[in-house]
Amino acid sequence: MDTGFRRRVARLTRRWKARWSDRQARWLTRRVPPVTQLKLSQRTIFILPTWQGVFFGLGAIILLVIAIVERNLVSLSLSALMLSIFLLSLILCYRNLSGLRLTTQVADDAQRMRRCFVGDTAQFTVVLSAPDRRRPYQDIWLGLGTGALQRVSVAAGGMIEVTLEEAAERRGIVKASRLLLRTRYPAGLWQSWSRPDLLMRCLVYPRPQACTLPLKERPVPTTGLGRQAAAVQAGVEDFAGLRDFQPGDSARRVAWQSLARGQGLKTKQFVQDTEPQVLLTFDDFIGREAEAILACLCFQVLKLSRSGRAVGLRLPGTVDIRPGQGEAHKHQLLQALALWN
Amino acid sequence: MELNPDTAGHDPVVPAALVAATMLILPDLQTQPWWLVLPCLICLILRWHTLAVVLLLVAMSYADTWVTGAYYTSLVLLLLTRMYSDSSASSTVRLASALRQVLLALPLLIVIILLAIGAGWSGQRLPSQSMTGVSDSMTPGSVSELVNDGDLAMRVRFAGDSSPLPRQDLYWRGIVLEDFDGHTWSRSNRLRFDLDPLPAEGVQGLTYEVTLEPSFQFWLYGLHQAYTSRAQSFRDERGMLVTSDMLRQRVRYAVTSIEPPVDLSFDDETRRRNLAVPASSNPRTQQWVGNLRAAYPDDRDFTTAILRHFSEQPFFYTLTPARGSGDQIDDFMFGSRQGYCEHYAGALTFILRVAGIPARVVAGYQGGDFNPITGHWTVNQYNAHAWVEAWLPDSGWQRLDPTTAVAPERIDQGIDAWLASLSNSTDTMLDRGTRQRLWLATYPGYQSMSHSWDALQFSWNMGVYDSEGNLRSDDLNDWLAGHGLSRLPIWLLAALLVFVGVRASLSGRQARSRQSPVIREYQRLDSRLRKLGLARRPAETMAAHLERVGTDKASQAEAWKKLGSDFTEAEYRDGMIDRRTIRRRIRRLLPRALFRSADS
Repeated sequence: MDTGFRRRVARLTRRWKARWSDRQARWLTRRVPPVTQLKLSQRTIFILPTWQGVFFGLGAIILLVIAIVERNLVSLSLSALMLSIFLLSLILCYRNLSGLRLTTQVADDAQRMRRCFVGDTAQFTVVLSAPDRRRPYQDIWLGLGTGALQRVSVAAGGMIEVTLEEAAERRGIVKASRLLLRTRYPAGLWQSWSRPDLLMRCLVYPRPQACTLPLKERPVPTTGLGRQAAAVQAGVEDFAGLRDFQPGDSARRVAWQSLARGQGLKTKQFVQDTEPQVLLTFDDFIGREAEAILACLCFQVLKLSRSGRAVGLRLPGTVDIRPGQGEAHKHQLLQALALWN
Repeated sequence: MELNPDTAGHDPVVPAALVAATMLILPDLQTQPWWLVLPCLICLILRWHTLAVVLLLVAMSYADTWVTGAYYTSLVLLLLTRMYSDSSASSTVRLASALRQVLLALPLLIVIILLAIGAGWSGQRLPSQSMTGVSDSMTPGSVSELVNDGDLAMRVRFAGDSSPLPRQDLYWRGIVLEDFDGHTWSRSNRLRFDLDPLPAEGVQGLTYEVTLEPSFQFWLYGLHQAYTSRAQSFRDERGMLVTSDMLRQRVRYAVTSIEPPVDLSFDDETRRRNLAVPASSNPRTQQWVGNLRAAYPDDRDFTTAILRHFSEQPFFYTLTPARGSGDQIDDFMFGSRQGYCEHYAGALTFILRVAGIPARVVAGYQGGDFNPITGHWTVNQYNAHAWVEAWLPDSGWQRLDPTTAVAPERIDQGIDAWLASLSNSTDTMLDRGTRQRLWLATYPGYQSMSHSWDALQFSWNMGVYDSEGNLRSDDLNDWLAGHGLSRLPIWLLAALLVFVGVRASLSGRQARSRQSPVIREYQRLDSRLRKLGLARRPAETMAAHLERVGTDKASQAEAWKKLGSDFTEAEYRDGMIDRRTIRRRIRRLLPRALFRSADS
């Protein structure tokens, strides 16, 4: 008999976990506020013994007591050695993070931000530097809290640049999760870690979705001639392919050969290359969901830019970009698509 | 995914562990517990660090010489080398780190040792307090309060009749104190062994088994004249049972006791020792004894007169006597007139010696608590007692207990009952532990509960430990020895160690073959690129690495980038692109790359 008890427990556990992580996140925000540059110190480093360390330390204390009771000086010295190694390990482990300087190239404006498409991995760069000329940092595991960690070491006085990746799941400006640095140097008896937030951001464009530009969007010649004239003009252009016949298509453009082959009624399509300017608007793909429209627009921006044509974009709201060319212009368009809402 | 090639290469921990195991054969290390050290080394090789740590710590408690200390320190170094957190570091780096840790730990070590010695090593106790229990010297009057120690001293079970003697006749003799310097009774270390066997006929012996708790001393306890079959134990002619090894753990021994035979042989040396008194000590007592001796020339009459003196004059038995100064016995006999068994025993022996009667102090336990459940006697530290033996011409050594003359109920009923019968006013003078015990004893059921607990412990000890205080593993050992396999466990462990070691030293190769073919391919490429100075940097992905290689060779940038994404694709999106394709691409790229680099 299913009373739903298990489900209820699972829900409760989930909720409790969510609340706990919320609390933790809030606490962390207070304790380690987001900054772009950070020197790890007492306030930002946490340290606890590992299980191995607990056994090591407790065992050493028990042995110490036994040695005192048994009045065994050799055993006493050995246990004191173990205990002091355990305590020393605490200091070494802490020192392996403390003083490490973390910086990230920050870009407040979207222009200079790193960029990627939805579904790709967003990349973030962190620079770790050791300010002290005599103190190296060894064996630090570094990653964004959610993903896999990578092992890095910083030589004394040196610096390294680390690229971190996180899946980009939605468009817009994506914030990286808190950084996780942890180390168990030197003997794995203690683990110290830090969770700094370096305000790392990435601009995520919509994922391009293959689509064709509707026919009516084929640019109308500026001469203002009628549809017929346009068709004639188009007719002299290169053959581009076939598409299903739609009522109203000119009989001259029906592909009779394919009909004869039993492939149904098709209309020949021709590419219009003479007019370099295209203005993409939201209404071109009307009838789809907003995100899908953005995806199609993104594809068109990429495709048209590649073929070297001037592309403009008009979106509902304030976005109205004059047609233009070049890499910077392309990114301006994509950025508009990424940030539109 | 571990992209780093195994730079550690040959692992020095394995041969080091094998050497450490072999070193156990050395004479200095033969006493060390191989059954802990070998498993520890095995765990070390297998990287079961926690288990290795625990085993090593337990083994360390056996360390007794500085050679073994050095041996264990080297094992600690080995352990730290193994536990180094960066598994890709070279063995030199690890060993250096381990050494550094041990050296840095030294100052801390000294502080800890000083603290430990300062706090607990000497077992400091307030000098004006003394614990009950038996020690090998006795200084009446030096302490003002006797703390009753409720710890267990021993358990005794008689064969046959479970209590052949009444409580007041249970005098468990421990040591005999013959030397007196005016203040302290002590024992001369010169033992005179009595190697005669137990007289077989004509005597009715008492047989019983004593389970003695660790006393950290060198003697056993028994009734009357005791004979034991325990190894390493000898009988002194004064009737002491002396062991050659310190009693560090619980021991069990069988004893046969006989009534002391009427032994009138008495050599001059013994007589002199048992009559020796510092000439100038306690003059008042000496003078008083001289007068009394004139009235009672007969030894037996004199002894009786003294005991009568103790019982008729206002002498008090107390655990909290006034602290004396100067001549303790004078002070006791004519001043305070209060004390506990040590005061009375010391004073009586002194008086008898002054009177020309050979006498000595015996320290041990008196009485005990009979447990009706298992039928054994439990003797606690607060049963410690001191009494006197005097040599009378017609009967030889004779036990005299001045305490019975002063406080007969202390002996008849046992010390707890005696303490409980005291008035409440003296109650406050007792120490807290004793008060608590007495208070608990007033509750009905407490007695039977403590008896049950005691019986449970006793049965457990009898069942689990053998007579030497070791776990009963003799049966298995006997069986193994019977089949000529007495060394089997150590050989099995050694074989396991060798097997694990060999396997671990081969595992570098195995680990590489466990990696996916794509990664192996990549590593091969990486090692070739290293020759061109284009090796993968730490924290670089495969794709990023190859892309960087591409930017170096501008004409092939696209091809390298493609190769990188192919690698990633093949490894992580399980294999739309197979290894052969990748290899073909590498072959197409690499020779030219090598060629160009040779050009420039």
